[in-house]
Amino acid sequence: MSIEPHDAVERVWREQGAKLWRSLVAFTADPDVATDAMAEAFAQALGRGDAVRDHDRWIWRASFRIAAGELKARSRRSGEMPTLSYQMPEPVADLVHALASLSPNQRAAAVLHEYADLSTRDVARILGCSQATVRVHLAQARKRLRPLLEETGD
Amino acid sequence: MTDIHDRFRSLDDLDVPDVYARARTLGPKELQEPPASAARRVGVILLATVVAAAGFGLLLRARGTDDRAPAATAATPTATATASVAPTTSDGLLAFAAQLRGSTTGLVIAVMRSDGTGFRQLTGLPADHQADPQIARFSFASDDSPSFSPDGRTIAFVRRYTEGINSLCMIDLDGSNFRVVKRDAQMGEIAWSPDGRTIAFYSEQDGGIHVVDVDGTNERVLWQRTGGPNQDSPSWSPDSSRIYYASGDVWVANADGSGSRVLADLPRHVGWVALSPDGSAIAFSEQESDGNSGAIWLMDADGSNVRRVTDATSGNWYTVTWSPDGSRLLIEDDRGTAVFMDPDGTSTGPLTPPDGWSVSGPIAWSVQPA
Repeated sequence: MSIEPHDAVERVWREQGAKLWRSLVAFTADPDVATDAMAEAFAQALGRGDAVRDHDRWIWRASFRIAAGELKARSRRSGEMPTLSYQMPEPVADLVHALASLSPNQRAAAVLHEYADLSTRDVARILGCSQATVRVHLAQARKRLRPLLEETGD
Repeated sequence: MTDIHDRFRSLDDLDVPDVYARARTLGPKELQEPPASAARRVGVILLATVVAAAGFGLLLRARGTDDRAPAATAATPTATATASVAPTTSDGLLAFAAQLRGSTTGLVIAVMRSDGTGFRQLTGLPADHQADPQIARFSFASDDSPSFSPDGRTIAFVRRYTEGINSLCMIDLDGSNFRVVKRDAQMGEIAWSPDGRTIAFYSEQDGGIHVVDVDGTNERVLWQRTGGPNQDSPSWSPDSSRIYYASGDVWVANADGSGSRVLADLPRHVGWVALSPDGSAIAFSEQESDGNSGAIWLMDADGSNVRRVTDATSGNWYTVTWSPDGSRLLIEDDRGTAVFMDPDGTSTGPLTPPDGWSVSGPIAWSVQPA
């Protein structure tokens, strides 16, 4: 029995929605951007029906790319830089603040691997680069994050 | 010791809104940013992230708790320094992507003799940045994946302006004659053929192995990924007739793309392959499925005599490079630690770049030009 496309999309939401949204918050430092990007990605997945074959990977890729596009738009509008004024628990705010010091690629790789628990192979597929490139991003990200998180940890 | 993985668990405290309900109310006309599969589109979107990074920089300064990162500039300072490293005599020249501590710029290509002397930054300098108009467009560049020409006098490398947009570039060992050989190259790791004519590379376009002539023309697909693992780390046979590569297992195929076959069906994921200079042995890294640990192995070129080089718990080793004479290995872990090792597994000491510099990504090892 085949699975309807909408069922597949709903399954991704049910099984991975929370992790995806929190990953996007870590990537963007902005829950609104995370919500907007994720809603758009899911809406497009619903609209594309069976044209999407691998819903899991497609929705993760789309969400991160849409979020990156929104960050671009914001950066062009003066006075609309992301801020940490949202109500976040302090450990989350510290983490997001540390992540903000990374390059976009390092940040995306770190979030997808360290939080979303994706393998370097899956991270490479989402970011559209090779596994070795992902490992470079991860090594740089860890090197940068470790001292920053030690300052705020414990 | 901060466990980064554990710190990410704090995200689990965030309450998640019902995004799916909102998605179901959105109509197609409300969608503003369709995900694109074409690399050019990806690059445009992710260019945004570079620009956005400047925004994050402002965020950091506004919060006033991180003043260690200098303002982003196109080029990092020139460095000529001496590194500490175990071998007392040089048996060749190393090229690698390097980064200066605290730098917010991308990686640069640097070279250093295998005895730790003669460190020189080759790229990320005004001369090569000014010669590359793409840098003005993207305001960012990061160089990696160096590969020596057969005579050791030129280094090919990949310059990444943003995810998905990169160029194949070359620069002579004396730092002169920088040139962009191919734009929109979509390259991962690259390998210059021993006959000097072509460059094999991991294609970010399809996850397969492609080759291109050294002048950047005549790109052709040797193996297009059709499912399964990406095909990584091409490595040429000494006569340039075959290419070995990782695709979950260790594979080999003729340089025209025919005759591809699995050399060794191994129980774990193979992430890196390097053929010895004389073509008699293959070093490879074997990765756990979670990507958090890896070991270096050796086998004969026909796939027999598989033996372990590194201890299973010694680190997350993922790249391996042969010395030009095939007597030593240089292995690197996912944190940029590189160690010289004899093929029998005896460590002969770490490679340590000069103070303030770190190594990132694959290392190329060549004979030192006279």
